[in-house]
Amino acid sequence: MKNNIDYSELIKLRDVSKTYGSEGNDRNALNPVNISLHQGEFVLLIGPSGSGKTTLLTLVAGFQPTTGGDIFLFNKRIQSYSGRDLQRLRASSIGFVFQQFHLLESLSVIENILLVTKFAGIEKGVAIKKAEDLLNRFDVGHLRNSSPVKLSQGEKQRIAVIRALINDAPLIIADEPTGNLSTDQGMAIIRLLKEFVTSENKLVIVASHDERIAEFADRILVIKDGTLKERRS
Amino acid sequence: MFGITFCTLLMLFLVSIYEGVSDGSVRYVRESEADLWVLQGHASNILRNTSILSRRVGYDLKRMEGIRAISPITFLLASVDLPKGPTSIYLTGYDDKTGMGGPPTIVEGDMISGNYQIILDVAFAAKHDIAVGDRIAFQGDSLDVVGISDGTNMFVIQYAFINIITAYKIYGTTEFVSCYLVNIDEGYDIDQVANNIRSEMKDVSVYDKETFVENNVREMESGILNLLLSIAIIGGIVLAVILSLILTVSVLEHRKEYAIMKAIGSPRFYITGLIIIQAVILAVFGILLAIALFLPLLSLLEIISPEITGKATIMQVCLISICVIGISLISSFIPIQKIRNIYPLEVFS
Repeated sequence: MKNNIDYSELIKLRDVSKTYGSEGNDRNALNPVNISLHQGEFVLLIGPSGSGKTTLLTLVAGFQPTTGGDIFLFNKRIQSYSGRDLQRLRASSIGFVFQQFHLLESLSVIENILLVTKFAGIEKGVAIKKAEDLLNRFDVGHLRNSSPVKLSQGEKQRIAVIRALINDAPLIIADEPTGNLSTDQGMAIIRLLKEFVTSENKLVIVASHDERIAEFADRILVIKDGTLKERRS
Repeated sequence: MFGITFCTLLMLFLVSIYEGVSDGSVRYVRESEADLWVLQGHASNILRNTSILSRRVGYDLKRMEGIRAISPITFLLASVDLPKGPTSIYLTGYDDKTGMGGPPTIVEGDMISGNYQIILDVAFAAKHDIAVGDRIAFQGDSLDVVGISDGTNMFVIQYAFINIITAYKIYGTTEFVSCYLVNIDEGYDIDQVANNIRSEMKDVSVYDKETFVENNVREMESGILNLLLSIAIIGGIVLAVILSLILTVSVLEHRKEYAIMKAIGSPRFYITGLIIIQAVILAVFGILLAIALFLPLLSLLEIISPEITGKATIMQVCLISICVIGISLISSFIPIQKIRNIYPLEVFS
């Protein structure tokens, strides 16, 4: 799938809106949004809790349908992807980083990382080598066989970032990645993501309410009460 | 897992008892040396049909062409007086000179060699603590226990053997028997001789041994064996419910993990496969534990209740194991449906 896609404009939103609730009792979570996001951009989606950040991320990843407008993901209208296409896309072309890390506690660190390579159909030998390279690059090689339960918050988030990067996904979606980390740990994670954007030409979208991330962002999208505006950094 | 083990054990027990009862009920007929069984007209088996034939039938049979030997048998549902009270037996009188219609296997003591001697079934003897050399009271007389037989346990009642002379004395008449066992002369066709008997004698039923075994098996299957089979099926259903509940609870407990897997791109078959693997692993461990417990518990059961005779074969264990694994696969259907209601959106804060 990757080879047939023009990645320069990875995401385009055209009049995308989202409303929750039933008719007559609905609530606008996202007012119409028009924006394009490209390869090599580090995008900060900033706004207070409940402003619509997560809603926007989940719409872009195809986890829920829009109420209005069109989302083009990898130059294709998201509604035209089948459920199986979206599953494959999430496995191979989108990396996710969550606020709660969401590592599987029943698996070791390396198994957590290799799980997504299995979903993406990457050959095991290649995947193990790449996982070990990334673990060393992120200074957590010694945790290879540890259980996530025994890791610190910062270590957990590093492993979660490695899991998002292992498949060479052109798009990384991070939802409040520093939310459960100390300032130092949080900035270290953001710095690592930024490095990858630069060196690997990826599009990284970070949703956060932390203004300190702004210094790393190429583009800053401010969202408040469901309305998105771009702020020039 | 203990619930799975218990249900598997229950099925193993019931199937082994089914086999044991089935074997005990018809082994007497199967191992008889008769080519033909001749009974009263319309009687098709010796388990739940009454058959009374006049001795004249025996005289007529002897005169027919192609018949080498006949042997009379008497069957009587009777009570023997034991210290704990009267107890029912299926009293079988046979010709101790030819041995035809006698017990299929003697596990202790000897065959009958005189009047007022009795051979008891091994389960009956064990249950009532009777040994070779003991005497048991029967209708004012006493019978010497000379042997213990095997393959003569019908679960609800057991065979006991006396000679035909003693049987006539008990009946008070020598005019009637229950059936005749017939041996055919060499060179004669069994079916042809059977047809000759049918055409020359009214009011008799004639069966070759194979058909008569089938008749008795069918009779047993329509009675107690159906009950055993029904309980085994209920055991299977309970097993399915237990497995389904275990797997459903597991899915609910690991809801977050499944949502994470869906969010990071797990194909549907991968998660479905995890549920199926869990189901099969549970089933396999349950089966292994059940197999480990089965033989010791069966032996214990036979000691506590000797009339419950189980017959365990590797084939039975394999079939039950396949059934349990099949049930485990069916049981994973509901938890797999539950997985569908877990959405990747749940992992976003």
